[in-house]
Amino acid sequence: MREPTYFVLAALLDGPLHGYGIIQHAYQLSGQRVRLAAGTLYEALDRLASSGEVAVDREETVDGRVRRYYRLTDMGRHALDQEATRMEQAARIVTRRRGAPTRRPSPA
Amino acid sequence: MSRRQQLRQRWYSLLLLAYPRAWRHERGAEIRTTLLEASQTQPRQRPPELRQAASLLMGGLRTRARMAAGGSARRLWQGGLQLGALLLLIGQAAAALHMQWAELEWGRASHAIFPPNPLALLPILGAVSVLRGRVRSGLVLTAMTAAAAFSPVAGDIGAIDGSSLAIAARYLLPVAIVGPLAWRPPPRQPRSWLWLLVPVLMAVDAETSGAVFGGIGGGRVTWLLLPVLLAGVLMLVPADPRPAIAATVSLAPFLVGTLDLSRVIRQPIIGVLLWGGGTLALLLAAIWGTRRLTRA
Repeated sequence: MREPTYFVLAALLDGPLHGYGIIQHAYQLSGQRVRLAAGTLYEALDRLASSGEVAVDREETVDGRVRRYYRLTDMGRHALDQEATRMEQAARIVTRRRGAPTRRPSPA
Repeated sequence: MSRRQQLRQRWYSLLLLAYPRAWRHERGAEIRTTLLEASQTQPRQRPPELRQAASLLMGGLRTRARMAAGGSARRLWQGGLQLGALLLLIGQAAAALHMQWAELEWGRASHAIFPPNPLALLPILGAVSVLRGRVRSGLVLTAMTAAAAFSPVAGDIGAIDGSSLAIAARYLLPVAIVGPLAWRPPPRQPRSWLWLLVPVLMAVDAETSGAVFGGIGGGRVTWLLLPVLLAGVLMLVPADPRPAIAATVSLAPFLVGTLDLSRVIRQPIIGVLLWGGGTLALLLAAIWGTRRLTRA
């Protein structure tokens, strides 16, 4: 899973959000590191919607502006859980060894 | 809405043209809202406009390619091959136009009359048919053009340059591509009439450059633009591999011609390497781009 996709799914964990809401939430969740551009966001949303990982929750019009809210589906939650577990396991491989003494190569 | 916001909205609408019309119709208002909110709420933190623009352009092109492919690499290649065949047909049309023009000029200079060759219309009509998505009539006209190119009695229709193997590749490759596509189920999307400006401009370029051998149908400017266009095609590969597939097809006859000529005349090795390396690089880029785009 690519990083923008991961943060789009993560942003929707707390409930349905509209486009700019996802951008803001992903920015905060990533420690102000991931700034989703609109093209990237909508590409990820299209892909996730076609694979059934996100769905349109509702639409509303505020001050003549159309907002569409997206929510995480069960499939999306499962995919996010799996990805988080995979990254956790991968990180543990390194963090567990961080304190271990470095093995020196034995002389030939 | 302030004037600044109106200008922004217009700018975003312009950028959204990169997306397919159906997609824009469904999502255009929503994405414009997102863009306006992003530009207003966090003016200091906002993604720079240039980054936003690049993202919309690439996203739009990728969406076009994805929608055309429908998740299938095969459909993506069909689209690319059809575009490649169209480019070859445009080259044929340009060469035919240039040939007729040149004969008119020679006639005027030598006070002789060279009547226009009606068969020169074949490649032009073939290009128009494929351009407008009429693949079956395109196939018939393309096959007739190929037959005319080899016929000793058909007169010149522009196929005077290169080795006979190169000419065979140039005229038979579109038949080989358009043939199987003719029996594929629709939809076959017609392309814009504006494409017809390309062979006309190429013929003008060939005539004003004094090109005797049509080459790709154009002249000096066409050849100068070629590397720029190919660089653009390579840059587009992450978004849409179809232009790279099309470029591979349209360059293949030149590679065939160079290799064929090198059997007879000693060809500069750099030329062979450039044609061969360039075609191979485009092909590999097209394969990579297809895998990237059709991956989940």
